[in-house]
Amino acid sequence: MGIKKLVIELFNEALETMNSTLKVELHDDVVLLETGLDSLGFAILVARLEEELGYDPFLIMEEAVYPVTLGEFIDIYEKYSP
Amino acid sequence: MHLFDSVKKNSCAKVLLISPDHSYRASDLIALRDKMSHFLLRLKDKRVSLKMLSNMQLAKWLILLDGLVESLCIIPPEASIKDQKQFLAFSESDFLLIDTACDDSDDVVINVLDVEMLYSKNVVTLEYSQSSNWIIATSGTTGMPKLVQHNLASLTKTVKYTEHDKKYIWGLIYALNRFAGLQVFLQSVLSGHTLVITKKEQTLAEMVSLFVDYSVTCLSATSTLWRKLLMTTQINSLHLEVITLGGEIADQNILTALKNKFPKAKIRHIYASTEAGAGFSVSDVKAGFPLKYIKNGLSQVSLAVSKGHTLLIRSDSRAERYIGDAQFPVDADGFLDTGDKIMLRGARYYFIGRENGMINVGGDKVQPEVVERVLLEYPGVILASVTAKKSAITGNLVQATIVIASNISDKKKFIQLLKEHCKRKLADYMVPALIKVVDNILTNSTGKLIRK
Repeated sequence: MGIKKLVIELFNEALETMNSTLKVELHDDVVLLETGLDSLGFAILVARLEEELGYDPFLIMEEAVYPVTLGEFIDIYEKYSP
Repeated sequence: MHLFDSVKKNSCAKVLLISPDHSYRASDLIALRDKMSHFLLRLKDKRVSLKMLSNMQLAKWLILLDGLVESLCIIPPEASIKDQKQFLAFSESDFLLIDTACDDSDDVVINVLDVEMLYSKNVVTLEYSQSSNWIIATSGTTGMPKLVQHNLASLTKTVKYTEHDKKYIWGLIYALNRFAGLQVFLQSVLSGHTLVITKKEQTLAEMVSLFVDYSVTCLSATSTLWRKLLMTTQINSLHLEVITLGGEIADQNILTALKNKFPKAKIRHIYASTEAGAGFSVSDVKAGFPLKYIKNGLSQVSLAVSKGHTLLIRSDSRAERYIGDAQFPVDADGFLDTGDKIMLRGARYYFIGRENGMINVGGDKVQPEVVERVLLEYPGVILASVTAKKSAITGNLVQATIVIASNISDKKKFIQLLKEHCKRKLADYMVPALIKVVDNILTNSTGKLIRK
């Protein structure tokens, strides 16, 4: 499964876990802070992605990068894919 | 009073100690003492350390030495040479008895197997007049375990001597060098019962088979060990009359499971620690303990709650002190802080978990034991271990490692349903973000779950 597809699948899973109602449709320009996912939800998403992909780009990266949109978030995963 | 007194009270033929390889009647132990009387004379009034791989060897030597030596320091066999040196120094031991060959040609280190080969025709009368100090290592979760000083009186405050008539047969599943194992050993020897001693190398199934072979009727273990015991097929052939739980929180799941499996058995969970000594026991097959234990106190123990909601205990049977430089955690009123968090619900206090095991998830606090209890409530979950997973975003997340019933085929679906069950019962930050299924979760030398 492509990284983009996996991120969106697990994003939805994280939203369900948080009992958040999905506020917007998930596309590249969606602003992460407006999706309804809080910091706990993000932490869980990153942990689940690490479980499926085997790496956590936020631990690998030397300088912290804060993605604003979903597209940027997916780019980070694609960039740091081993 | 010392252990050998109890041994002599039995009929000569009474079997007191059994292991897969040996058995000792009262008369055998008396003969052993006589045979080695010259060697034992060297140890009289001295300070002796014991570091033994074999539970049976340790059992024999504790009986031979209690009352003869000034102090007995019991060193865990897995202790490193560095820790061993520390223990010897702190306990100011004159001799170290071991049961394996060693390279050190040292006057201080003595291999008991060599000693037993010696034969003395002349028997020297030995005077057992000491009230020997028993120095025991605690589990020690951080760094080196601490040494706690007890004596036979403080160790045996809760031994029920009235059960002398009953032909109880005890199983020893704990390591004998730890507090829990010593409690079972002392209960058995002082009451004139038979003790069936397992070997560390045995699997759990082999241990239960040994207990079945010798018709063990009394067994003491941690909640985790009990969960594993219930997974063996051999347990069905064991007819237990006395069941004791200790060392970990006895949750309602395991208590009910044991009641269902052994409806005729007396079930009690015991709250004790190496420092506090034997605290109190609960026999109503319900988790936690009644509020009145704190309000009214108990016969030899006073209980209180600290500001941090941990259990405070002041007991006649508590250890005197730590050996070495560690400070014994007793307050001005003589109360020991156990570090175990408790919570009042109605007229009952429940154990929540170890204060120092708490997980911080983005500022919210999670006790692993609380999450484990919820996981264990779900049918199909047999063992559960909850730990922290580092997160760059919240500091930590909760993750769980579980062992599930063998007949569950769709693991992914099971985990999904299990997470939903957790969501219904727990705050969102407590729900395990990751759940991993494994074949087994290890326990440490005291039978407690290892959370990695």
